[in-house]
Amino acid sequence: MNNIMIGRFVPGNSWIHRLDPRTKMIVTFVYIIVMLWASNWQTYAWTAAFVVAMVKLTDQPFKLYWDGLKPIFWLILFTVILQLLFTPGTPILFSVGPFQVTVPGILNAIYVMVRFVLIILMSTILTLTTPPTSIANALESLLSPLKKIGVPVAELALMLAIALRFVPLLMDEMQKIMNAQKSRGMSFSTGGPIKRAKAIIPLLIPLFIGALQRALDLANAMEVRGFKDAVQRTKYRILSYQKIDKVAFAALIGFVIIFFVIKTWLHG
Amino acid sequence: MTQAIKINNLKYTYDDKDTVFDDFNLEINAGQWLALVGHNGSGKSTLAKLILGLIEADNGTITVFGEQLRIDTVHHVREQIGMVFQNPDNQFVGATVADDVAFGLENKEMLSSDMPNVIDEALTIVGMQDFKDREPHMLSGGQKQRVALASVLALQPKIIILDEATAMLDPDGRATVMATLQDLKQRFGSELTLITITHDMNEAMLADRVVVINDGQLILDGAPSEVFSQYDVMHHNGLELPFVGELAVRLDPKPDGYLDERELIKWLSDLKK
Amino acid sequence: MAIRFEKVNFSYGAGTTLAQSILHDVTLEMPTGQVTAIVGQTGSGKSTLIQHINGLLKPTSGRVTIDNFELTHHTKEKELVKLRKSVGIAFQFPENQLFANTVLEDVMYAPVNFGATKSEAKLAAEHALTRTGVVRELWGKSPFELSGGQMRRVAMAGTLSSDPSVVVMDEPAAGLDPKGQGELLQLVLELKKLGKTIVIISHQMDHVIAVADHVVVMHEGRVVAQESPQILFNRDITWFKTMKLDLPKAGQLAEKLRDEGITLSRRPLTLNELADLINTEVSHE
Repeated sequence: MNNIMIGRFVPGNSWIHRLDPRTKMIVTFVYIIVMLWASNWQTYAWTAAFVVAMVKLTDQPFKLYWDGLKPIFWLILFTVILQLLFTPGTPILFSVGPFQVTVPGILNAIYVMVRFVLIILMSTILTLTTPPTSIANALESLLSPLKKIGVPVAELALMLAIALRFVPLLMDEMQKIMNAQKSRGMSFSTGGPIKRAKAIIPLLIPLFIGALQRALDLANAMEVRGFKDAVQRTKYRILSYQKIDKVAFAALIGFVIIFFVIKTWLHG
Repeated sequence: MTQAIKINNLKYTYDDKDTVFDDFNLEINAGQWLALVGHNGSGKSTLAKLILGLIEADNGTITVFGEQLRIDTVHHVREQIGMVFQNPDNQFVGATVADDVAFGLENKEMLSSDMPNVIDEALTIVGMQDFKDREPHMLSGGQKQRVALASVLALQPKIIILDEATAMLDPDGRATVMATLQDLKQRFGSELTLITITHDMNEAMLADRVVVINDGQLILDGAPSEVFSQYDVMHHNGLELPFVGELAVRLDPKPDGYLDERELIKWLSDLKK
Repeated sequence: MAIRFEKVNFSYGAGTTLAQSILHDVTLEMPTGQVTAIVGQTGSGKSTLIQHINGLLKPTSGRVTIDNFELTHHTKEKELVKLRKSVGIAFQFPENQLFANTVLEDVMYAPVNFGATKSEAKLAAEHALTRTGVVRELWGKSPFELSGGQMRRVAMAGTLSSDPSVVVMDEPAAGLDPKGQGELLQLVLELKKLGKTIVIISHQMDHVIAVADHVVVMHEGRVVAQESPQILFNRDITWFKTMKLDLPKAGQLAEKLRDEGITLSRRPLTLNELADLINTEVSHE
């Protein structure tokens, strides 16, 4: 059975696994923003080094990261080609029809590829080491200041948590419904485009109805267990920063400072 | 004897069409284990939903430990009753077993620091403490239903209703859930009122009292031995006797009245001598 | 032989690091026109096995032959349509597959997909609905307006409407009350009378003894027995304990009687057999 877990979380006990999910989200966020400022090979090298260090710290086989890159391989290739063909400047290496491949073009292509790869790697570090529900908890905590301006953070967080819990189940259901309809002759490979589009109805309707029924049952179960609203509740899982989080933040600050030092000192 | 649940003159019509209950009365004493049986469509699950205020009766009263069920009392009434539903997935809220048991505690606004102990205790009672961090899609149906029981137990209800909780399970799952229930009843004795809703007579056999309903009417009400002696009435209402009951009816000579398995074996031993 | 498995192995994700091996060296036969029951603990590979009968899954190695159709790892998807016309599978809780605007339309889905004209499909659907006991008044209603039991019957009809020669059912009695179970067993016997080959996955040994001519026992992805129910259920009690299988209830009670010193001349497999044996051997010595 297809066991595609969201973001492919792999349990473990590495330093990164043990960080508070909020720390990881903040680090990922800040990192991505800062690295967009990279402008010369030294800054790129520094940002790459940071990510490579983090990857090492997660203690997971690189194959898992490679699997995260594979889906967007074509996108990267496409962007690289664009950079190669459309960057003006000197020296020109050779021409391909009306397009010119230049040295700056090659450099840009490399930089673009590196950016993509690093961003994907960084996000993969997050999803690889953090279970989806922790990400949801972290989001709820980080976004809680928004409650003051009327955003229903608690409700949204609860919705997200419950939805996530049902993802594996819904995927199983989808497979089962597909099996049932295929057994009854459903085919996506015959007929014109309209017929093929309509062929999806026997998949979607049962899935939808099943989800509705599930929601109704769940609502009853929740009510019976004393659920009144999303706000008047305490929490079982409380996030709290530990020492290693402080270390991580310090590392982040150090990274950012050195980044900008390298950038300005070398006038990239 | 304290009355756990008292139902008076209950009237309920489903969707303005079929009258399910019309002047239905039932009293359940505290500490009893009642099996409510009937074929699919007899109204038994509807009764459970009415008791918990998930649907509203058209007429009549439902009283739980002396408190009448109304819009303003429904939350308090629900605190006395725990319910385990039929579909193991559709009542599992948490991302893990522990989170699911915690759900009710969070609703009750228990202090976070008190939760781990309560969760551990509840899970230990049903034998699922080793599965604390397991995700629901890795559990069997029977395991999920035991977690549901733990989630209910954590809230310390005085009454637990199981609405066809084993109907969707395989024989193994069914057996573990029934064993857990027997264990519970033994552990909590008269402090726990248990109501199992089922169409499986081998489960109903475990209760102190069996109530048979059909078309919203009360057909039989008594100890298992009394109810299961009524072969014709049971079959007429779409139900079978427990296996030993069906067997006894076909014996010649046959025993007077219903005997459970242990009793029947003894009866046969005595016959042989 | 209607269905034959020859040295079938099946793994999910074969060839990758996440490969999960489910079926090992499965060789078995399911006779034409008979009812074959597939039994075994949860996780023994039963569901994986039946999905090979209509090509939802293809063997990683080995061959499955269904009437004259050969299914191997190399069989192409488009060849499978032909197979699925003659093999109907009703999965567990088949009411989850209902989708159409009316009951009739839903049951017409299969015949239409397999090339029937609208009027042919309508006739086939009406036939199937009658067979599974869905009354005419319900044919024009939305399937979602029906009770659980009625939805189950509609779904069954949806599997039968293409008039498959092989009918496979995965735990068809799941969730049914005693009356519903009785009607289901009746349906199985009727389908057998029509000459169809039936395959049923079941956990209930009393159902197996009631309708099956042939039983395949699966354990950890292997076939550990294939024989008639009479032979199977007369195996030693320790074998059943090892396989974590039950005897039919009559057999279970007979074992308990034996523990109490009452031994019958043979192991009863049905309620009536047990009653007869007790009446002849115990009550009237």
